[in-house]
Amino acid sequence: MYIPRPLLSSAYAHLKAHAHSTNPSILLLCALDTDSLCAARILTHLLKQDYIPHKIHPVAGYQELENVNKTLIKGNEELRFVICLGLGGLIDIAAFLDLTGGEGERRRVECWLVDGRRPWNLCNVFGAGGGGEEGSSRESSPLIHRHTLLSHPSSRALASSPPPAHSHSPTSSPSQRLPLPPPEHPPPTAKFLRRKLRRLRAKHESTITNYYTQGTWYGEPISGLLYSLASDLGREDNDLLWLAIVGLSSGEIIGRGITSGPPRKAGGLGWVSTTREDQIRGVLRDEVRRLNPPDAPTPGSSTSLHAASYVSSSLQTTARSPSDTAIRLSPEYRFMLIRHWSLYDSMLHSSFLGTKLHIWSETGRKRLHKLLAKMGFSLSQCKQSYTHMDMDLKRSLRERLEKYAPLYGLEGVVREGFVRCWGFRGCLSAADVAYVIGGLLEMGRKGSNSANNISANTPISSSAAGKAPEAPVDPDPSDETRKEEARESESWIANFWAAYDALEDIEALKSALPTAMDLTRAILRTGTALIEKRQILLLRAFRLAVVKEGPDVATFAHPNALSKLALWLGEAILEQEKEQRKTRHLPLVVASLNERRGVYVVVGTALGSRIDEDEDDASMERRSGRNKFGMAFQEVANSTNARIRIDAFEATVVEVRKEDLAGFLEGLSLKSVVG
Amino acid sequence: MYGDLGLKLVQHAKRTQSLPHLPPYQSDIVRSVTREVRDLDRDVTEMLEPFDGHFDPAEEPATACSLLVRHLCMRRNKRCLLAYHRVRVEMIEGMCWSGSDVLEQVQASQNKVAEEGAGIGSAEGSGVSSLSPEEEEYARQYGDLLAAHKGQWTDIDLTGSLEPPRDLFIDVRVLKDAGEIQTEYGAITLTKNSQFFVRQGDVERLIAQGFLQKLN
Repeated sequence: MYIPRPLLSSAYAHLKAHAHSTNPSILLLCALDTDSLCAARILTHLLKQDYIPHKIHPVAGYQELENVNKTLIKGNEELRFVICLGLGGLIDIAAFLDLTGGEGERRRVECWLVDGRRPWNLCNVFGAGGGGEEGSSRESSPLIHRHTLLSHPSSRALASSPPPAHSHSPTSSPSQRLPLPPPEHPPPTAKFLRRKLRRLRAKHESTITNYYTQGTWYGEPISGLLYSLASDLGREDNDLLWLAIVGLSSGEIIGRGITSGPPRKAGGLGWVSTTREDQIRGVLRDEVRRLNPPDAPTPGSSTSLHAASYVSSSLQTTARSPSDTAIRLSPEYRFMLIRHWSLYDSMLHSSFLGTKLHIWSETGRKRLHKLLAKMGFSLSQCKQSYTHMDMDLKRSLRERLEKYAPLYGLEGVVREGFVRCWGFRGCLSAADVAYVIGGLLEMGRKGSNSANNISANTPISSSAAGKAPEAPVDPDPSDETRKEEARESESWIANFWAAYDALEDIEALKSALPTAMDLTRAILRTGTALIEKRQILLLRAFRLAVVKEGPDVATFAHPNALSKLALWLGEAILEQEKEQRKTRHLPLVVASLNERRGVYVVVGTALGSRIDEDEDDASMERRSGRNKFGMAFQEVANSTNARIRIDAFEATVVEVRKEDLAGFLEGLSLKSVVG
Repeated sequence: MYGDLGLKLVQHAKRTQSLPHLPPYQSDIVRSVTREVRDLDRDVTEMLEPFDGHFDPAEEPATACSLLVRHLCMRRNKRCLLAYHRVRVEMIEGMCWSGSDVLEQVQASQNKVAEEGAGIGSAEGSGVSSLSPEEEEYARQYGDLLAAHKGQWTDIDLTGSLEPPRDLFIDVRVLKDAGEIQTEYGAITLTKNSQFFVRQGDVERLIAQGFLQKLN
């Protein structure tokens, strides 16, 4: 059943009342992405304050979820609640997990799904099982409305024509939002009623099919959702707020623009500036203001005035006092990690600026140099670490950038962001933290990772060399690959904990900064290589880029890293095509070779459709940003005999065996859904 | 040179003090040092033989000097041996008190060695134990002694931490699979790579044994 937002706190109270007070009866399953990580941090914070013992288990994919089901959920008599953070929204969780608890007992394990992915599997929302789902009520109320109609065909609501698909139905009464009884069909009384019923049923069934077939997209970040739970309980503080902000920022980085919500024209900023997202930003901004009241200016003291003007004119890079851990609003440039990098590098690697200036080509770099020259910034200054740049330059950066940015189509390069200081130990913006945590999740901590690689590499390369001739004829995933899979997910989980620790530890965050830089360097390098060598193929229904050589192949074995690359490429292609005045943009498929396991990781992004702003058709626009690759991948998996594994919680990520990639792509190009 | 090996042993001992675990027993060096002592002793006996028990150092200062040097070398070697063994004994005792199983650690290090040296030499990997047989025996007997000592006061955990717990509940991360453990209020299944928020009292022993890692 579905738990609307106002009822979150009572759901939590229910959890508190029924959880075991001395034994971990709550199992938190957490997906390996930044948003889920932040959400897990928030939720554990709340549970800890209530002294509720719990257990956190990171889960990499469906296969592992199954293992968890076998080892931790099935027959576990202690277990009362399973809370899935960032996973499971797409599947029927009650069918997947064994939630009946101990044998012979009537007590069921309750399962809460907190997932930002859409579409929801409606079995979770309306099923009679013990599953619960938290979500924002705005989005799903029409759906619930719809399902109510389906479940109770005789209700009077049928007579009225249903509201247009997925628009918000402000009239839906609270009773319709409340938990629904399991569907049951009262016997029809008359023949015409039956016919009418059938017709209506078909109609509503098609509504639901439509809901499922529109692709996958993202709702509100779940860290924000849990923050609102904390604030309902009156327990919000700066730490939790910061986690929610980081969760939101990470969504922007990985391209999870929140695309549902009231259809409205997006502003000129392109990717992620829908109103819905601005709303969330607005809420968080108000929270920041509420929890971090600005210091009252002491009258007459010129120093504070000076300080204020100083802060407003250049980026804040140091705290004001050793115990200053406040979150502040500040104008942030859309350059990554600027506080810890040089201005030049920061601009070069930012996907916003890089794609707009065509940074992958020589002319693009020249354009960047020219922009800097126009702004009056010498290259030698720009290549210094930002903190060591001339004070005058730093102060005038924003003004000059805003003056010259429109010449290069860089409107919106400065926008409101959040920044937090940890005393004198460091100052990071929310986007930077999201980059760093993302980098940690995908590449791991530097030292441990390289050591891991070396130790893992030597035996594998020798055995691979020995096995090479027989590997292709062996159709089953051999022991070797299975071992490799285990090793990979093991390292991902180690990364998860590294990131989990770093989220509350400024020193660890600072030491992980180079990791994030490496990742963006790899993206720029690989993206440049792909575009410059013209390796992005234009197929009938989509574009295709394959990463199979170069220094960074290993990096992109992680689906999230590959998604970031796909996003960068997508924006770059979009910019190119915009200049060529193309109106129809094909989606992009990026595949990356994972040599150790002999598979390609394939990611699909729907880049083109986001630019449908020009069309006035509201439904078209609402669908912008919806990714149909999830379904296309499934269909191809069913129709061809390519060996494909859909394991990631992300529907748009699949693994295809090395030899089957061609067949897979062939099948994919026949799918009209993609276009 | 006389005494070189003894110095090596002392250096080993010094290094051991800063290590979290007990490194393997240096039986080769210990054997060479004792052999050196024996050689020195034989030299001394040979040198004193012609005097037949009536040696006057004032008459033969050269012999007296070489006797003295040999004697000092022997004493130094003995002190080195004693120092090395004392450091190890103290570590073993410390392990017994802190509750970590000494013999368990031996196995763990064996596994590690076997993993690392699987390709190189299996003969080397299989028989290596970080304790010498005498030390193992010592550890066992010391453990028995400690148990007997603790047995007198069953209501006090003498080997527990002296620091009072700050929180009733703590965060722990599971480092290796420990299976299901029974606590006062029920069972907990400890699976690798998960994190628990549990009562400190329930898991204290597992932390000491290295199954769990306590987070700050």
